[in-house]
Amino acid sequence: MKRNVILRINNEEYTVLTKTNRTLLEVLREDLHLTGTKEGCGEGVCGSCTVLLDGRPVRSCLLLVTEAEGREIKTIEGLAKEGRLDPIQEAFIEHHAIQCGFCSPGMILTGYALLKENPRATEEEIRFAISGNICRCTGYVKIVEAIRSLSTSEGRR
Amino acid sequence: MRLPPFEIFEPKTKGGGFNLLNRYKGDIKVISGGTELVVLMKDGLLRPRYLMSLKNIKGLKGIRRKGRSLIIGCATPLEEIIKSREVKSLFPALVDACILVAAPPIQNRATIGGNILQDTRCIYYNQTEIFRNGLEPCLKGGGNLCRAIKGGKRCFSVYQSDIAPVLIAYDAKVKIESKGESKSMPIMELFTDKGEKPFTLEGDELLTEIEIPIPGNGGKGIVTYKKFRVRDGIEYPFASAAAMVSINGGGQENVVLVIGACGASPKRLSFSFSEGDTIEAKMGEILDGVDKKTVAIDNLALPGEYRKEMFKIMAKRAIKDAYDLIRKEKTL
Ligand SMILES: Cc1cc2nc3c(=O)[nH]c(=O)nc-3n(C[C@H](O)[C@H](O)[C@H](O)COP(=O)(O)OP(=O)(O)OC[C@H]3O[C@@H](n4cnc5c(N)ncnc54)[C@H](O)[C@@H]3O)c2cc1C
Ligand code: FES
Ligand code: FES
Repeated sequence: MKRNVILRINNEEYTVLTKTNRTLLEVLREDLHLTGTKEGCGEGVCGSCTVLLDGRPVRSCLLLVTEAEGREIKTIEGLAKEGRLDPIQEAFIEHHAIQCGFCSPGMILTGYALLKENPRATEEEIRFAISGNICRCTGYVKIVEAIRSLSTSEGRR
Repeated sequence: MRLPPFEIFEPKTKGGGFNLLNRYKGDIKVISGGTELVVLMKDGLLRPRYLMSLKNIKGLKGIRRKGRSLIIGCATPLEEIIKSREVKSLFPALVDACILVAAPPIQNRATIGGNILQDTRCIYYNQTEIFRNGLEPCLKGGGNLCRAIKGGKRCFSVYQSDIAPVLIAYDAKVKIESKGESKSMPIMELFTDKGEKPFTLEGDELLTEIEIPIPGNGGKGIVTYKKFRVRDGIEYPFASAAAMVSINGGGQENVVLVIGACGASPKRLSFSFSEGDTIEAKMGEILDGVDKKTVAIDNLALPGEYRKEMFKIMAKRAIKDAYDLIRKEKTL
């Protein structure tokens, strides 16, 4: 069964005519061509499909598109403003926290959400926040450093 | 991975929901956070014709006091429980357990009702359709053989909720509602202890509330929870234990132990000791009990024999922590 689903993504409203047995991830990538959000495992394990739902990181591969209606969705495409990267994106580049880049949208959004809620996040808090995101390249140290560089907690680098 | 076809309903009231569950009983599944259901459907393990979303139904979310109990709505996300000061101060082990579920992005969606009603798991069952297509269906999949144990006559799948053992230790009750009916029962009564069909809940019933009694002044007990996993993030428990230790005025010590991931339901054991008993004597009796009540076979990513030992180690740690906390409280 198809129906119109209204989604608010990166402060814009989209009306998508879609079957209802689809995930938000499928609609983002296939219908709206917002391919910054990646599909890794498709079953909740890896975190590469992370988007923010009302400011909180969630798995878009486990979220029915209809369940996302009426909520504020932010994808990696929504971070840069007027052609300028968000400071967290800059920090990932500066700290070499991106290698193949597959985990990066999820990692960056998770770090972004954490710092919004807790600008003084400690290393331990950062590690807990990203514990649901798998990176197969960096070994996590650089990612933690990148997020930490924007935290106002003591002892940051 | 794609979802099989289904039609979704989004009722706005509980009554509307009960009508739908009643009308389509057997063909309809409730979707709460969806973090378990969507995976099972993608793997083709569940193919309900209809889904009923809880998202628009008012009154199923949130934490509130009712008399001497705390009520948690079934659709309350774990993240809300973790952040609740009230839960933290009244039932700290519940917060500990919620934090141990998967990882924060899943806790942001996963709900307490869905956590309790998550299906039992087995490495031969929780696989993609392609994997399973090469094999005959097992008992849980509607067939009549067990792939984990040759000649196995029953299903050995494992219930791996992190939260249920702690709720059992806190003596929680669940409220079950359906069209024209409402009942409340100890959470233990939700379980059949059968892997093929782990819950007593019927297809037209909704688990609406979890009720946890707030301990009175006299009988304040301490609950702790220990989870054994290999990685620190995103891992179901391979063995777990919740312990409730309380000491009454006469010096009698009561220990309730709930072992998780040891079969199709959590196993509850209770013991009474007098203050004079040595901790060694107590532990001996407790661990014997754990050994007798638990089953573990090679159907998760770690060997059954290993997990069987870990039940005892988790039990020991949970109990030791509870006694330490009680001692600390006494000296404060
Ligand atoms: C990668 C990954 C790791 C995980 N790790 C853990 C873990 O470590 N520990 C753990 O305990 N769980 C784990 N889970 C399982 C799951 O995420 C949690 O158990 C979660 O709390 C389920 O809640 P939900 O709201 O998402 O449930 P849903 O998926 O919405 O529902 C689960 C089941 O309960 C039924 N249901 C839900 N609510 C009700 C209700 N009110 N009345 C009647 N039926 C209902 C649904 O029909 C479905 O059968 C993991 C899942 C994933 C994907
Ligand atoms: S693709 Fe969603 S968690 Fe891996
Ligand atoms: S940079 Fe390659 S997976 Fe993280």
